[in-house]
Order: sequence, then structure tokens, then C-alpha cells
Amino acid sequence: MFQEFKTKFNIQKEEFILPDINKFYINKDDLKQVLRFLKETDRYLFETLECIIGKDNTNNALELIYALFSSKYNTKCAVSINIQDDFSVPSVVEIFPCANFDEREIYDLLGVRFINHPKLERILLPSDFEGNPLRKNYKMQDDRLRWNYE
Amino acid sequence: MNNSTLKNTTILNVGPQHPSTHGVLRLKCELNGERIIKIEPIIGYLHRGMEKMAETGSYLQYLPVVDRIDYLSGFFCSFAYLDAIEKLMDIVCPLKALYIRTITMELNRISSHLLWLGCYLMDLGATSPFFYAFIEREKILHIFEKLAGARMMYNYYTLGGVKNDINKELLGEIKVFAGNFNKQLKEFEDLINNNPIFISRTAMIGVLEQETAVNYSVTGANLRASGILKDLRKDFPYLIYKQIEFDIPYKKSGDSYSRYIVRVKEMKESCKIVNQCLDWLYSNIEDLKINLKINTAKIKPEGEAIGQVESPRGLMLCYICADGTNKPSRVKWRTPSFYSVQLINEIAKNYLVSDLMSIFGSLDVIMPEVDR
Repeated sequence: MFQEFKTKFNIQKEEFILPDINKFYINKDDLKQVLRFLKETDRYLFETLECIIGKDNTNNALELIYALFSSKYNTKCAVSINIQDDFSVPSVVEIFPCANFDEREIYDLLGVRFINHPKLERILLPSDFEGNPLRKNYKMQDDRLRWNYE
Repeated sequence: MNNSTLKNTTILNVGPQHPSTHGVLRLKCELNGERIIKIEPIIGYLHRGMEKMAETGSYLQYLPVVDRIDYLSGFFCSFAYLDAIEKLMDIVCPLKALYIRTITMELNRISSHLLWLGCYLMDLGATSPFFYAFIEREKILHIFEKLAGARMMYNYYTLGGVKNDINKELLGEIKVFAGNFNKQLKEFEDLINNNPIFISRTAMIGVLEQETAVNYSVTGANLRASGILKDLRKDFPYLIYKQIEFDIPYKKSGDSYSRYIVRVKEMKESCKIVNQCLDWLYSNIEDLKINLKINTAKIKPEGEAIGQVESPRGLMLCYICADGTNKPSRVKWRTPSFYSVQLINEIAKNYLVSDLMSIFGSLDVIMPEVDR
């Protein structure tokens, strides 16, 4: 099913998320183009963005996974980008409005800056909070949690 | 915006503490007279760091916490989490455990919808349905207490099955409940469905268009009330839903009233599923195997998996990235209410401020699930 998509965007790396979700690694600059293509092409019609998953792969590298669902073909797939050093990514709010809160959450917890986001502020944590808790190099300040690390 | 309208707008702050926001939510409303121009939901008051907490302990240490993500439907959260680990470790639960999981989850769906029904009508000013709904809900909670030992935070599912076996006495209780429930539901419907006050406060209020619903990633009953037939139990059947006969109720108009109708019909379908599970459990009561004995030191999966479940509020996903140690490297929760709360600006726009709580209540948002 994904052959046309893979040749068009020259996708080299592909993995699986269990149970059977294809995960395609794409270039950061192609992100908007790819999502628009998957959403609007009749062959795919991935019109729902289920969520954006952000994770820290250590060594100063983050990964964002965009989980998509196509109700016409009843399929799921995921598009993934790796970001290194420069943590800024184009915002996809204009393609998928639901990404608004998702991107704010990732900005809040992982510290990724989304370019052209309508309101990039902390969402779950208080505005004067310091640091990004889901980064692997984040040190918990709370003394009561010390037993976890000793 | 020109100057004349600028003069007329007022900022109204609703919450964070407010009886009809069902938790701690703040809504910053911009009003023109009594009409809503813009609403900005402000969340995060209940943030407990669930995702960070997962990274600090082992896989099974996190299990009791999972129920607290959505305290009205704890079974669904446990299932989504365990589903992901079971996929990673290639565990297939015994058949009886699958049936027990299905029956408890469907009863949980009924109890969650009953609470929504009671509270929603309370928001609209009707006090008596609240008590009727809670009488029924209490019966389900009693069953859960006997089965799992807790009324709301069950910690009942475990890796490879469930913790306690179901006995004949309990099956009898469930049968009595399921037998009477349709009659009780008929009473609610007689009371509510044609009530002129209820209709005038919900019909054609808060209309959710199909396109907006898809764009905002709305799932569950809210989406089905807008005429899109999408249910994980049919699309990607899990547990034993393939063998069970049930329908997916839906309506086309997308207003608050149809969201109410869809939820009530969903309770009837859940009752149907419970009855079918009961038949199987009665004939296989001697089957003793309810869980697999798994060596806890060997829970060291590797890879990525998504556990998914159709919770009472919609699609719930749990993404786990495992790195071969006994702790998960990343756990991400996709909770349906997180997306419903964004929607409030789209669907409450241009309605009166008195309709705001009627619209917001009909979305069935629960705050601990939004903030995690």
C-alpha cells in the first residue's frame, strides 16, 4: 500500500510499532509536505492525527512520532522524525488543528520549539517551571525522590 | 476586529474551581453581550506526571498508578497499558481471562456513562436523575468491590490475565443487574427523552460538524453522534469482540441531544455484551486458569508497541518504548478527553453563555485524564 509514498519521498528507513503499524523515518524538512500528501491523496486519506509522541533517545537526540489513522482504508501508520541539536520543528497545526495541544505538551515536557505555532506556551506545568522533565538528562530537584536513584 | 466590537467584549473567567467543569479546568471566555466569541481552555491543574512516573519504576510497579489516569474507567487504562506490554512480550492470556476482562470493561463502561448521565442532567438543573443513575451505578461498584476489592481504583488486571477468579455467586449478581438494567434504562428514557426543558437546552445546541470532529481528532461517542461510524471494537477487534454480536449506535445531527442518545444506546449494547459473556462464563466456570504465572524478573521486553482500547470517552492509546531493561524508557498516553477539551472553542462559539455548560457537559470530559 505504501509503495507509492515510499518512492515519492525516497524513504530509506522503516520500522514497525507493534502490533502492525508501519513507522516511516522522514527528513525534518519534508514533514509538512509528507503529512499533507498522506492526508489529501485519495490513495491514503490519513485524515486523523491520533497523537504526536515525543521521546528522548539520549545523546541529545529527540524523536517525534506522528500517529495517523485512515478511516476509509481502516489503516494506521506513523511518520517519525529525528531531531538532533537544533530542537525546532515546523508546526503542523494548519494541517491538523488537533496538534495544537499536542505540540504545546511536547514543548512543555521535552523542550521542542515549533515554528509558527499559534501559542507556544507551557500547558501542563506552571509557567515558571524550569527544565523539561521528560528529557533523560533532567535531574529531579525533589529530595523525597532520592531513593529512586541511590 | 473593529473598535465598536472591541468595546462590547467582556472577559469572563470560569473555574478553575467550578461545579460543572467536573474537575479543575479554567475557561477564559470572551463574550459579546451574552454571546461567546472565543473560549480558551487552560489545563494542567491536575498534572501528576504520570509519564515521568513510569520511567522511575519497573513495569509492574507502575500498574497500580495506571488506574488513576481515568478514575471513572480504571479497567480501560490498565488494559491499554497491559495490552502494549503483552504485545511486546508475546503473551496470550487464557480465554477465561479475556472473558472476565470484557465483562468488567463493559460493566465499567455502563458505570462511567451512568455517572456522566447523572452529572450532566444535574448541570442542566434536574436533580432527581442524578440519584436514579447513582443507585444503578452503586450496584456495579458493589460487584467490582467483591471481584477486585476496590470500588474505583481496581488494580485488578495483571500481566497475562486477571488477579482473582469470578465465582458463581458473583455471576448471579451480574445476571440480576443485567436483567433489570434495560428496564431501569427505559425509566430514565421515559423521564428524560421527551422532556421539553431537556430538549430545548440540548437539541441543536453545540453542533459538531463532521469535518471539525475529524480535524480535532475527536473519538468515541462524540464522533459517533456526528454520524461517523468509528469504533475500535469493530475496526481493530481486541479481546473477544470478534465473537460477540453488538451494534454501534450513531446519530447524524451532532448536537448535545444526539450525544446523549448515543451514550444511552451504548449502555444497552454494553448490557448485550455482558449477557453474552455471562453465558460463556456460566458454561466454563470450572475452567480455573485465569492468569499466566510470569517470572517478574524476566519482564524485560524490547521494542515499541501501542496498546489501544475504546474507552467510554473514546480512543485511548498507550505507547511504550522498551529498551531491554526492567523499566520502560518512555510511556505516552493518548487520552480522548485531551482532544475533546480543545474542541470547546469550535463548538461553543456563537452560542449563549448559559449554553456553555450544557455543551461542555455533553462532551464527557474528565480532567485527570486530560492532565495525566
